[in-house]
Amino acid sequence: MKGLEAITFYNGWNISATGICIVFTALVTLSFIISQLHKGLIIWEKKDEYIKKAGKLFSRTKKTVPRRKIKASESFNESARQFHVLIQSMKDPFSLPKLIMLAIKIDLMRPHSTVNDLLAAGLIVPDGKGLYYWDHDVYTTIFEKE
Amino acid sequence: MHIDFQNIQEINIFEDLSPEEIDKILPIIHPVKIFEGERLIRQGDTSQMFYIIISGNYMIHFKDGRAFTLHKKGDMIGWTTVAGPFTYHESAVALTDGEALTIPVEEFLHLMQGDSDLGNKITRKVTEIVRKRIAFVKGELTEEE
Repeated sequence: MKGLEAITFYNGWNISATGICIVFTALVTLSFIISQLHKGLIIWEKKDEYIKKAGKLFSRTKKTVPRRKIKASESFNESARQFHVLIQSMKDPFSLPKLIMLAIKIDLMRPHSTVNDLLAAGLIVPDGKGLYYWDHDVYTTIFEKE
Repeated sequence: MHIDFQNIQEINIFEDLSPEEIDKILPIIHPVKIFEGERLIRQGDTSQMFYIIISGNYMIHFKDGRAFTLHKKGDMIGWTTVAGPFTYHESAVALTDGEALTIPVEEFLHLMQGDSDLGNKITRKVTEIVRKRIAFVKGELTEEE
């Protein structure tokens, strides 16, 4: 058995086709890597910037609290403390008229204007559906200043 | 508080009115001082007048506990009065001292019926206010039902 007959008998054609496929695949992969090499170099040059971006993506996003000018008089702080305690006894988000009603019941001073001040200070925030929530971040900011 | 042509024309709902039309409406507008904690209207009560805010902060609230605040000059309290039926759909309380204009519903509607141009201009403005607040009121009614 010689020549083409021998090649066929020992799977020569299949082996050749497989070899060609492997070589072509390798060449295509190599050429693709070379064509994209410049991008890799750019990333390498700006690696610090990309590391920071990746870090931001995976770190837990913390709500940024806009700094507001808050009237931090002693009486305001005391009212904020009292309302904070009161709101803790209500479910979140809470009803503003119910809060005022509770404040009247327990004889807090000037509940209407206090609620108005708390709204203006951003401590009481509307949820957009008619209910309100207490902004703990702003509250912490106020009392950190003390 | 003094009420004159200039004051009235600065208010959103009346800004399209001609001087003659403002002259007609002036006699039924009454300025009032409002005190912190004062209840202006109560949901379900028969509406006798509506308020136009000049100054101060106000809380509008509903029986289900939802509320929003108003503070802009020209904002209306008790606007459902103008659109009917003649009961208040909301309650309102003053969060601070302030000033407002009160307009008796009956006299207002009588004036609007007697002058179609005036009626149309005011209805158009009221519709704008209604459109802004309707989603809120709709939600409130749905929850109550």
